[in-house]
Amino acid sequence: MSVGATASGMSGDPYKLGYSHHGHLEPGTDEATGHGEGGPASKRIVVAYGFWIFLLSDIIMFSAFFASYAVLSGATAGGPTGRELFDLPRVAIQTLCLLTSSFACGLAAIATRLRNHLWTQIGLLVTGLLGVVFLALEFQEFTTMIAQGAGPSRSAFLSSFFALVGCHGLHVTAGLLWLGTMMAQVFVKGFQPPILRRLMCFSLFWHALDIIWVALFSVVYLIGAYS
Amino acid sequence: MPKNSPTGFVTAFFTSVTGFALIWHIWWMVVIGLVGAFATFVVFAWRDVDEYEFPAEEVAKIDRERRRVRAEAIAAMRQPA
Repeated sequence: MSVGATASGMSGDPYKLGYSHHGHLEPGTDEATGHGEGGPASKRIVVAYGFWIFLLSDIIMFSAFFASYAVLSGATAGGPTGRELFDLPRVAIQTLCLLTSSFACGLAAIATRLRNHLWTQIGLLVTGLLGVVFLALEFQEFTTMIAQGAGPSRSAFLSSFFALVGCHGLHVTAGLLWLGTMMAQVFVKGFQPPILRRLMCFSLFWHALDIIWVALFSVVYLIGAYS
Repeated sequence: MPKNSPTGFVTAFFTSVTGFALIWHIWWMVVIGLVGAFATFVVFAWRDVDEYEFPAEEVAKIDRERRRVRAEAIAAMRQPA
């Protein structure tokens, strides 16, 4: 079954994308890499791989903020502590918003796979609206804290708190801008391959933010409110 | 081949503007920097053609020409002056 190695040559299927170890495949169905004759990875795989590297670097940045918060969470300089400041019911609603938002994002991804325009847009819209509610609640939390004199300059604890939670909030804001652009692109350009790849990357990004929020919720709010 | 694009440079310009404005608390300039960076992103994302074809025959032609010139140069060097 060495047809791919000899016959493809310079024309037709130069990278032998239609062949694998086990012989003939339908052209374009094999997206696996590392199978010797599988040829270079498809663009979808390459894009997802690159985006995962970005996400991992982002998570490394967050791990640095988490580490500084863990070290400084007790350094209140005589100011308010987490137990006095954190409003757990609001944080619970924020968590619910973000988790439901990720669920809606997953539904949008299924609708995209089915090439259903209406439900893709509805899923993305729900994703975005829940993200906006999350951000509004976070904004309310920050302004309340600053009004109480518990701003980022009050203590090292609050500096690291605003840096960590604010960094996540900025990511959500950037994600919402991206989401709006994606909805416009799906509306104008339809399900072209580049648009599908971007939707996949957005989905990865949004789920990664969700995972970071779960860590934030546990490390900052739960431990802070009960310690 | 991916097409060339000045997007990286333009985005770097706008983010530098944003950084400068944030340091000196010039809030209107922060807004301009962020809007500019976002507009650049949208323009870049809206391109329909982001690749161009570079046929193998063209590569082979250029390579043949290069090898011919090199062979001539070597032959000229080997001839006693």
